[in-house]
Amino acid sequence: MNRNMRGPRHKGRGTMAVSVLAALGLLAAACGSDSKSATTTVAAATTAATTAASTAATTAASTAATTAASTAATSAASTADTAAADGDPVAAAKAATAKYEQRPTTIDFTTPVGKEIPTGKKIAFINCGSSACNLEGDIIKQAADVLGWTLQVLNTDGSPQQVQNAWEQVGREKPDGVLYTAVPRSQIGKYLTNAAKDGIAVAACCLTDEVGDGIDYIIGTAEQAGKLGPVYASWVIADSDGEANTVFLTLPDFPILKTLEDSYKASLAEQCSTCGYDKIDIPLADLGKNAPDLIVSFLRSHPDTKYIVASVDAIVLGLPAALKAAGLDDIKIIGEGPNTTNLQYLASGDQAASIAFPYYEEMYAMVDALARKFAGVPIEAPFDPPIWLLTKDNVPSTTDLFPLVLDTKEQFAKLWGK
Amino acid sequence: MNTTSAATASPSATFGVRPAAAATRGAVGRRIRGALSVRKVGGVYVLIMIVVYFSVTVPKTFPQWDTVRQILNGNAVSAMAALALIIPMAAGVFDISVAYTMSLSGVISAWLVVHTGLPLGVAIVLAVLAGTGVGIINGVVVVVMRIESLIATLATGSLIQALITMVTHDNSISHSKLNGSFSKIAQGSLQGLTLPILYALVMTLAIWHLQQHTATGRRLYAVGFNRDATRLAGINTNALRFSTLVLSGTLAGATGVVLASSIGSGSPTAGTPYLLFAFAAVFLGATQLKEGRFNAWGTIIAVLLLGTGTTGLGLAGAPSWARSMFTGIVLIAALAVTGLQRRSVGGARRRSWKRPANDRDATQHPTATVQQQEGEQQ
Repeated sequence: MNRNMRGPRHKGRGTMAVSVLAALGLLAAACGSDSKSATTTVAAATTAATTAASTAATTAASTAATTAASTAATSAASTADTAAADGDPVAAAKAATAKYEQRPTTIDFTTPVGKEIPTGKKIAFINCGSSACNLEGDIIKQAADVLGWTLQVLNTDGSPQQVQNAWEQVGREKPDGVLYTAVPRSQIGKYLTNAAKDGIAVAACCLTDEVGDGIDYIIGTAEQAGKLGPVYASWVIADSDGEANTVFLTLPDFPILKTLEDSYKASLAEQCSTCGYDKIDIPLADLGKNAPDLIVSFLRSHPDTKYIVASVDAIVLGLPAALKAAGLDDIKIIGEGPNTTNLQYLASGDQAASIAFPYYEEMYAMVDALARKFAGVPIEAPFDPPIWLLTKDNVPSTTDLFPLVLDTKEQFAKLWGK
Repeated sequence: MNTTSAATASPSATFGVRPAAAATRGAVGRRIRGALSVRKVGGVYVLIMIVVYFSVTVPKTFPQWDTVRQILNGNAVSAMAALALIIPMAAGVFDISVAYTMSLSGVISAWLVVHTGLPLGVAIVLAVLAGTGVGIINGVVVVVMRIESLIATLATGSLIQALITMVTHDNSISHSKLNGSFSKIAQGSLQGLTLPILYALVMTLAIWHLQQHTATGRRLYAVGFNRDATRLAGINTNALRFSTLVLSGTLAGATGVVLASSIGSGSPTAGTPYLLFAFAAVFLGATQLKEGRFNAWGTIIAVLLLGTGTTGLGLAGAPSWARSMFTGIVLIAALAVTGLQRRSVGGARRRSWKRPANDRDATQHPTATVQQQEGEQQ
């Protein structure tokens, strides 16, 4: 049968030749492409050291003023000021990093509602279906219970179709308020307009959209995401003594991460004239399988790069094993928004640092916005969420996500008069 | 071809070499040329060209042992996932649930290690058996309930994912307990080569042996080529199709445990990114060595071809879209080859059946192939 199954030789050979040519043509085109992000060694300006030091000090002092109630943090900020004033950006970065590693103790949110918050309200949360969204739903339930409200969770798989279906349900059932995360206005614009007409209060998280046109409150804005750039920069400068060649990993699918990327790049340039910056765009489809190999390839072709800066921790899942297998034992990883796997990486030393995501603080802030609207008082401007840089030495749990401010619930309850 | 007449006409016969020896050498030569023909191992030639290309364009990093290590280490789990698909595919059965089964067994193994005092070996066996259980359910749905395998395994895959989500709430299972012996399953290495390479090699040899050296393997191909004809030849096609799904579930279960060990946690969605690549590798592999047949070594060639190309592109600093485009183009080209081969087979078969019955090769019909090959083995 085999012999008879073979077709004319010239057909198979010709097609294979097409295959070869097509593949090699692609390789030539791809490798000749200029879209690879070029390595950007941060140019040293003549006054870079002074500028970097003052910027670090300003950032550190500013953040310290808003978040550091503890003596340790104040002391660290003071040290940063001193170091910056001395023109030592590495010392400033180390002082700032020490401050970021302190667990925040207060939410940056001090205005009491001041009026009775109505009980018995019915609110809905549109769950995107991920583990993070499940956690967010649990936190919102906890906050709603404090206020005596009823929470309805509308579960979706995060697809535009299911998210729109959930908003259709909102239109039918008309709850008093709706909370949602990370869905751009372009997907649900007409539903937001309808919600505004129906008098439904809407609070959202993690968007690049603006407040208005149906959205009463947004926390986790692009501007707030940008405030994490200096945290990354301080850590890599401090850890490397100002000699870090870094590669920033990002997901182009999420516009909010562009702000973070720009912020990190600018911070690094300002604070460290001897540091290097590069970038890899990771396609969303490559998460979980191809990303580690892509990163290992980059590191092998850029042997001076020893620091991986991940815009989100999900990118580095599976990476520690790939680095070990490739013999790249001296690479350090910092990310943001750890899940339990990343927390375990931190505890085991496979990941050096991670900026914890303030799930609790941001979900409570969204509920606070609805509470103020229902109480008839102005909604507070979005506060700067607390920042906590996790390392092996201070990670509090590897099995559960946690509030950054330990008594977040109690601090919000106090503002609500509960 | 009449080898005797060919030998008689050869120059060696003219110079006094014994015709039988010359014929043997001629047959060996033809066999070697056949084995090395572009149509048989075209992927290997493409692989060689890719290696040469990147060795020239990325001379500092590509032509190194580290690159070989990276390609092998980075694609071992992918190869295992693809190998899990081969047996059902050879029998004409799709198993979409393989990726979800990988997630399931990974989560189960991690959960057992973290939350129970079971020995690691028992935890692994139970996780693999969970994959076997999925295979049995698939078998019931596909064979007993007679639902098309593509749809049926898609449905069972959704059920598996729902089960995982229900139990884990989509949270990864992680704990320091997973850093010990469990992590060594995938992260242990010999001379820089991680253990999944060994697992993939063992799977390849086992599947190759099953397909090429057992009657069951021949029957599986026959079922895949023409199920009705095979059934009419007296072979229990339902039992074979059922068993392929059980086998793929078991192999996917084992692959899931290795993947969980590699990640260091039981991730509820760890397996799904491997689905498309596994099918891509299996289809591409079917164009290699056995021409239109899903086979183990062809699949390994496919995995290495795709892995070498994408790793080379990464080392060359190509943009991220280039990797996807490379994979897509290679697949289209490979499937075009397969399509041409099948059309050629169809044409050849139609032409041969126009000849008198006693002039036909007995191996032209799938069932005849099975009967003849089984006779040869006996």
